[in-house]
Amino acid sequence: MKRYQRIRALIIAIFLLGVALQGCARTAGPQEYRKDIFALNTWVNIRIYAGKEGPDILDKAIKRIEEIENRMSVTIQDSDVSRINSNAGKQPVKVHDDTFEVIKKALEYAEISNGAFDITIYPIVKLWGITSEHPRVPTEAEIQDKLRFVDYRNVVLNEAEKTVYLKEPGMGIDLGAIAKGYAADEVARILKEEGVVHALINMGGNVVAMGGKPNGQPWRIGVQDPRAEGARRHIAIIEVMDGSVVSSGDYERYIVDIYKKTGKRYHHIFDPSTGYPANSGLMATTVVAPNSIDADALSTTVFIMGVERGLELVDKLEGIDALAITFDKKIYTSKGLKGKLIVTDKEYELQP
Amino acid sequence: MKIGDLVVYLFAAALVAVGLMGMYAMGTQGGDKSVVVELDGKEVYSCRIYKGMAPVEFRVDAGNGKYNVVSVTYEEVKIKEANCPDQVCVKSGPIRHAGQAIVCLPHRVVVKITAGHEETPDVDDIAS
Repeated sequence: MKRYQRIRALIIAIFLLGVALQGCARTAGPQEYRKDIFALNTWVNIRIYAGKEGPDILDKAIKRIEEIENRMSVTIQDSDVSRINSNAGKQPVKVHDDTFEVIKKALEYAEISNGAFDITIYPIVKLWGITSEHPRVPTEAEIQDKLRFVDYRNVVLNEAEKTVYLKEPGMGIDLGAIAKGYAADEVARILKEEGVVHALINMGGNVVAMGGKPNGQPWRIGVQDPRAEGARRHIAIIEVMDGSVVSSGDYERYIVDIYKKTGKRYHHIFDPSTGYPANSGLMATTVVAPNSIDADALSTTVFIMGVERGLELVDKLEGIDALAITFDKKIYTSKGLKGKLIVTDKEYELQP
Repeated sequence: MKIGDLVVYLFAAALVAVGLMGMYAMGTQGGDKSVVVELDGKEVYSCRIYKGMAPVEFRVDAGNGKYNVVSVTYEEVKIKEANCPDQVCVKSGPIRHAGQAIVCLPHRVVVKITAGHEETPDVDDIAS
């Protein structure tokens, strides 16, 4: 009898312990899988919730990114873009459907922004070489000389043949302000096809949120601190269930004029009307849109156009919102973003 | 009740107590943040950040003589020094919260703060 009591006490103790430890166990269901790689000249992160096929899905997504890079990179010798550029003024070049689609979209944005967004900026980009090993501040004469080649209206598309032709020798295109957005959309498409519901994609700052968090809450996307340099550090938060958030700014890649000791900052986003880094009074812009290709192109566009013209353009576009941060740390928002932005850094002042 | 019974009950109580303490310890550990360093997408270093920890400094070897020196304290994480051409990572200044990261593109080095599993980061990602 006594022995039974003892055994019973032990069993109860072990049972209680078991119950207690159970609380620690994680619940089953889709697991989180992450992949971080360097591609498209930037740092790419993909986070998905999936079953054990998760790693295969991620590999598929990465392959697609590499494919896009090989077709659209301006530094890869045999990419579509390099071939288009080396045949400028000579002949039309047949390209992959995805390259064609991206160039077509880029020309649409050139049209609605009156040329503020212009992929034919490449001769200017090359002249300054901000992202190259030897960046420099060119002379006014050099800039004027290259600016002659900047005009999106001289890009000729042939829809039936899927060819792209640059009319003038010396012209060149650079898809750097739109290709990452396209790649992010493509990753999202692949994830959806594979049955992934909840995911977060970050293509060098081009964020795509899918399906909210697994617990039903929206994804919380930080707006980059424009003076955090290489650190990903935020000053505000935007909540998104489905959609893309992209920032552009003078902080991403720039040089400081140390030769003339002016300390002036020359960044990588050029104004096609001047040939100089855009100088519209903004440090940064962030655009929220259903598709990343739109958010990517528009973040650059708004940055070049400035607060008034930029936000006016965004207000005209259905389902798209933006914010712009001026040098005096004031945040201006488009109409649709009013009351939705959570500012977390007290140095920044949200304008009504 | 005999002494033997008492011993068994005490033993049982002790067992539960130890179990609960273990759980508590695991819980607090899960709540702490970590620093994770990746080289070309692969984790090469990680350490827990907790109150009262001694400051840590270490050198990440990115190959071909390329390096970044990372400094970790309870308050902040930063890249103190590096021989990369653009020095963007050094100029970045410190990061403090889970979800934040410092990226050295030329060296393909990423230093990030990850949340413990009981903790929710302030943001899930950053549009930079």
